[in-house]
Amino acid sequence: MTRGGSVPGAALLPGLPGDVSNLLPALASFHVSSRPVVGRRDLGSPRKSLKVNSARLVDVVLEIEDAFEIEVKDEDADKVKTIGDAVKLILSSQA
Amino acid sequence: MTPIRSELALVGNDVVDLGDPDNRESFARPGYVERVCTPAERRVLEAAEDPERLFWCFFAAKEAAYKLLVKLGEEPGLSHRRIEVASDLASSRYDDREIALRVGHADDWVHALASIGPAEPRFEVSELGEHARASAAGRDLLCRMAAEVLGVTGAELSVERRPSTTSHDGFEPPRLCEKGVPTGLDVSLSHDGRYVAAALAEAKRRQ
Repeated sequence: MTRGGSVPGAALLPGLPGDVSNLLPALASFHVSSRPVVGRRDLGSPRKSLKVNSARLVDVVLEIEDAFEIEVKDEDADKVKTIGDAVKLILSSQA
Repeated sequence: MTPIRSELALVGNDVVDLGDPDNRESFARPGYVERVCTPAERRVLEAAEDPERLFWCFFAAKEAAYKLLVKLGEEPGLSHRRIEVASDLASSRYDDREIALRVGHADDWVHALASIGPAEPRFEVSELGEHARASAAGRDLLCRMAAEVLGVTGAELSVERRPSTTSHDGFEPPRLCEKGVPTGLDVSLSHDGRYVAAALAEAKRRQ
């Protein structure tokens, strides 16, 4: 895992609500796969899509909390199995 | 546990590279320890001589327990705090389940093994070669360990991971196969930074 990388496919955001477009900058400091993180229908599992281990996934949760000024509760974090789930969580926290 | 369950031997293991700059950065990050540890665990950390090392012991223990819980059909999710590790590192608790742990460490790594069942699990931590790929090195290590247990050559063994739509890494736990057929061994793989680890347990043979 390398911090300080870019987000491949960052321009590809079809289907992502504008309110969560900050998700990409929030994740930009984490190494991601060469495929777009978002813009795919499946919006796969966070660890698989981001290619991060669980220690970095904690960092991702903290990044999201900081970027969106939300608090991700344990029970909500439990439900996040895909990037799409993370997007839903952010949107519901902002509602 | 039911009698059938007691016949099973399951393992989960996790290794953490203490020298990995990302791990060091994470530990120092505000809110990181609080995100991972329960209040009771944080009290233990506050009194520890080497809180960073102990924190990663807790972390590895939680990850090892997580891998085992998934095999039991649980879905611990992303919440590390739902798994609480005892201050002596000998066990962890998830809801009403208690899981035995064995936590060890060297200068540069910590390793945790979670297990249930009658079998004595085996595990090994190995340093990666300079150009080795972690996932391949972990599989090679596991196959070498399993070959000894099964009395076969490592070439006859393979590790499979089937895709899963429900797990956080997109795959089911690894399965060890001999000539393509699943063996009776339960296995676990881990890698972090410069280290890979593998663990296995053989289910007690039925009479």
